[in-house]
Amino acid sequence: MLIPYSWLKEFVKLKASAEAVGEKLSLATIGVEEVKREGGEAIINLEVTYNRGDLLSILGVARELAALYNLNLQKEEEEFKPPANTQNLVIKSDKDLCGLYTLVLIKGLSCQETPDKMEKRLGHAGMRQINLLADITNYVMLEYGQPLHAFDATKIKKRDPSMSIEVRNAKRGEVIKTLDGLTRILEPSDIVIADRKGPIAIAGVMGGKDTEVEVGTKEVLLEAAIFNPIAIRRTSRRLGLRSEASIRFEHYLSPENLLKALNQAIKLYHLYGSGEVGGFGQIGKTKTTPEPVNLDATKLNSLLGTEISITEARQHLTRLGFKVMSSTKGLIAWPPHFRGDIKHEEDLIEEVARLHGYEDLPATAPCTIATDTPENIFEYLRNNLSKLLAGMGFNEVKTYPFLTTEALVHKGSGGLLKLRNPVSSEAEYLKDSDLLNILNAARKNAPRCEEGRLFELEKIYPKEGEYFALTALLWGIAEPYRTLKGVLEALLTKTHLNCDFAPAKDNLLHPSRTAKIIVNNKDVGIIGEVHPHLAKSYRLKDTALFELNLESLAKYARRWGIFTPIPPYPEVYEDFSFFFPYKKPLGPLLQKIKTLDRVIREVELADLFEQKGERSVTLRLTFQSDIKELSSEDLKPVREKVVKLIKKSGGKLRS
Amino acid sequence: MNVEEIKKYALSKIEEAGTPKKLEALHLKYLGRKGQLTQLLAEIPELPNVEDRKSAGIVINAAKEAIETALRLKDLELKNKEQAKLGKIKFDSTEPGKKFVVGSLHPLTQFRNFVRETFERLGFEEVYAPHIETDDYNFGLLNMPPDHPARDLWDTLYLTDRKLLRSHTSNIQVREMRKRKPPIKVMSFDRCFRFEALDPHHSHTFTQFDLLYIDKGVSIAHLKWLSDYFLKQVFGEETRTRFRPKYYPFVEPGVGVDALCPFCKGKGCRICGYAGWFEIAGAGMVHPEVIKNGGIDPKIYSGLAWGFGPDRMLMIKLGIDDIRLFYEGDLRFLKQF
Repeated sequence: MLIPYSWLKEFVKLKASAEAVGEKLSLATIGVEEVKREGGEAIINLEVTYNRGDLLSILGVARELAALYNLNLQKEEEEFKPPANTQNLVIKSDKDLCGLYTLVLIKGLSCQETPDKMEKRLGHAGMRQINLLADITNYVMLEYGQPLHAFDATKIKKRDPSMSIEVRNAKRGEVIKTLDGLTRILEPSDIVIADRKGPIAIAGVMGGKDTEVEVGTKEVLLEAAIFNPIAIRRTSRRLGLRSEASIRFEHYLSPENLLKALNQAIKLYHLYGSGEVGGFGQIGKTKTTPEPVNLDATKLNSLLGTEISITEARQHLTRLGFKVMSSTKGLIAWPPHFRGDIKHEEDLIEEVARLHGYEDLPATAPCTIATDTPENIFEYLRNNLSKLLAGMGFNEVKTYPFLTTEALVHKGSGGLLKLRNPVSSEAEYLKDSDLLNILNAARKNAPRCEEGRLFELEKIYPKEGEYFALTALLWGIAEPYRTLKGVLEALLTKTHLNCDFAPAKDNLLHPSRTAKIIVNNKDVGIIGEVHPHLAKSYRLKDTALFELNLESLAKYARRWGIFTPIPPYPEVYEDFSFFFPYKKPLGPLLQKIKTLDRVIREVELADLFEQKGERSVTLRLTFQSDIKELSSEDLKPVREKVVKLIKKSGGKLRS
Repeated sequence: MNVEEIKKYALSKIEEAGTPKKLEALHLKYLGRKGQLTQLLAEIPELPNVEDRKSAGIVINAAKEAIETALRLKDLELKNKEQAKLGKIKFDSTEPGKKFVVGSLHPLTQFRNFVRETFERLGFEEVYAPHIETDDYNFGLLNMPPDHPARDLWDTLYLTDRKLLRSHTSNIQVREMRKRKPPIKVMSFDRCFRFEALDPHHSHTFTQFDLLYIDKGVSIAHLKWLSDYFLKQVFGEETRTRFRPKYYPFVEPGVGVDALCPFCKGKGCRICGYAGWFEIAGAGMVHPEVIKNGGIDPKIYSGLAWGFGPDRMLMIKLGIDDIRLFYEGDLRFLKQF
């Protein structure tokens, strides 16, 4: 809301500069976007929020400032009362659509120019000058916050000599040509003003072209109404027609204010256009019946942490226009007609706090302890695995939750969650895996980094439900699958979990070098080389990736392992070298060897290479006994067991 | 060989010894467990008369002492030589170290850890709420029924009529109230989404922090203390904060929190847009309707909610001028943290 300062000063004798007033408003009432100067006028730009619709007017801001500075309000129109013997205009309306509907017929208008002062003020307040008859409605709207609409009464009479005005819902398929020249198709949820021939305005949103006031208009039918705010909001949004008027209709409007605005408009029509009241009609409630709100002195001070007296609270509320009475526990306050936002005790407390000054509120440390706070293993994993990865040379990235159009080319959009109102086609589908996003991040860095390691820990959104995934990617590193698997295994040792790997398929990963990660018989993720075709199109080489469901992992992971005593007897190391066919899985063999005999402490892969298409494996076994120093003789039976198992599993011992 | 000859020979050998290893061998040869002098000493008791035993003892011990002294002196001499040699090695301590690959945590993760630690010290617990949220938890239960105009404050991304991408982390509020009993002290640092085109200052994906504290007698004075406490941790001890009235439908009273610009200290500069202050957080006392929606009696309990946008705060703190840097994975940016 743009407030020309000189206009404001007509209502309240402010001595401070516009800047100082802006500062005051921002500290005690509402946000101030800026105070600017334009053509000799200071303009305060207020960020009016939904609760304070009363501030969408010069008068409303003046009332507020009078309270803040403890000044008197200079002038405020009386509520309109029709002169005796005024012709009664018949109106039909429905209280659910319209709380109050008033029409004033103004006759005998002569065509005149909009006065300079009015034109300037409209400009400063951000409104376009049209013609005197329309400008007066806008001027009064800015001053009082009540939107008005002027119909050309002669044009209505031509359509419908009876001038039977009705406020009703639009009929399905009904159309109207609006002031902007467009034909609008209406919906039954829209409210229209209609005569017997059909709609002459979309209530609160825009008037009809058919009954538009022009320079030569002699008679005006002036409308002031309080429409159902939700209906106005829906219609204006659906039609994409949000105007100064429709915005005000979405807020709370008071009938008292409406009648004041009406009086002011009639005066201006008389003053500048020589118009006279020739008819009046109204239907609906003309008085606000404010609900009293109790303020408990104890509650006031316990919510603010202050020691404000009820006397002080009473002074503040009275200045703001509340009617106040004492009660046993504090006071009872009736909000003024223009404050539709005061409903709860807390609302009164805010009013008192504002005038008391937020600056003067005390600061107190909160001392309560919340007792029900169990350890959060997910948080533990999130923090520690991230730190471990960073320690292993991985850089954490954060990518958007959407799949780009390019990513969709690789993946297709089937099975993805889709936004109804995306910002752009690059942000329309939610990612169900981080693969393509982290790959994209890698590509951006690849021109500068021959090799690299990235990870992301964020939510992904598969259709079955969102979860936090830990995704890690490396590129430009030899044996990418085994390297990354080493990273994964190192991380998993910190969760004290055993995990298994089983072949898996994923269209974006290598047809062979891909495995699912299994913990406690549940799939918790996938690891694999990025499909060479995909890697190539992202200009990456030797690329592998894993993605873990961190929330699943947190269900099984343990923070603490169990201590294994360290035997005092020395370890003995022995290597076993053998050929092992690719079609036999090596992982399970290591597991089996480990459980062959108590003295086998460790089974490690010491060497792995390919010779004439055969896989050659060297395992290094660590033997150690709890009870004695092991001799070569002691180890003989164990050694034989190991060899037997290797052979049985398909291995061929190298000499 | 008699004792004198042994001594003479030993001393000459010690003099010749050029390495600690040779010196060690000589020590063993004469003074070790089976060394020549050790053996001679062991044979003394076998001598027939007292006088001989006495004189032999004196002579052998004197030889032993002489050899020990010579060994010690020679050892010192060798160590000094070695020391002199080590001191003359060609070396440049300013040569760069061997490269060791180390990664990095995203600046927002580091900031999250910082914020979490800051409030964990006060007993707040980290919680989560869904990103794909119902209209109810994001709006309706926060005192914004459908068609509430205040919903315009959030340009929301929708999946369907009732499902949306949460537009703020405040969707934790009713969820946590329904799960717990007061006193409740929880916080959340997580992602939110809005209908915003990407530019240096806007992003459809951003981060938010929310703090919720519900108990008997929670007041705006607690809110003030928490604001001061946190903003001082972020911007330094001399930071000043101020409260302004601000409307959010789910709090009453509502508060906008400003921090004195850390660059110009309130004078007004380019970074704070010549305002002297940064609007940095939004807060307020939880609206009684919201407390009621959480299944808690607002007549007995009150609560505060406090939140801010970490992206923007970190941008101010570190002087980052484009929010997209956080989300585009450029290592030249990420490796700086």
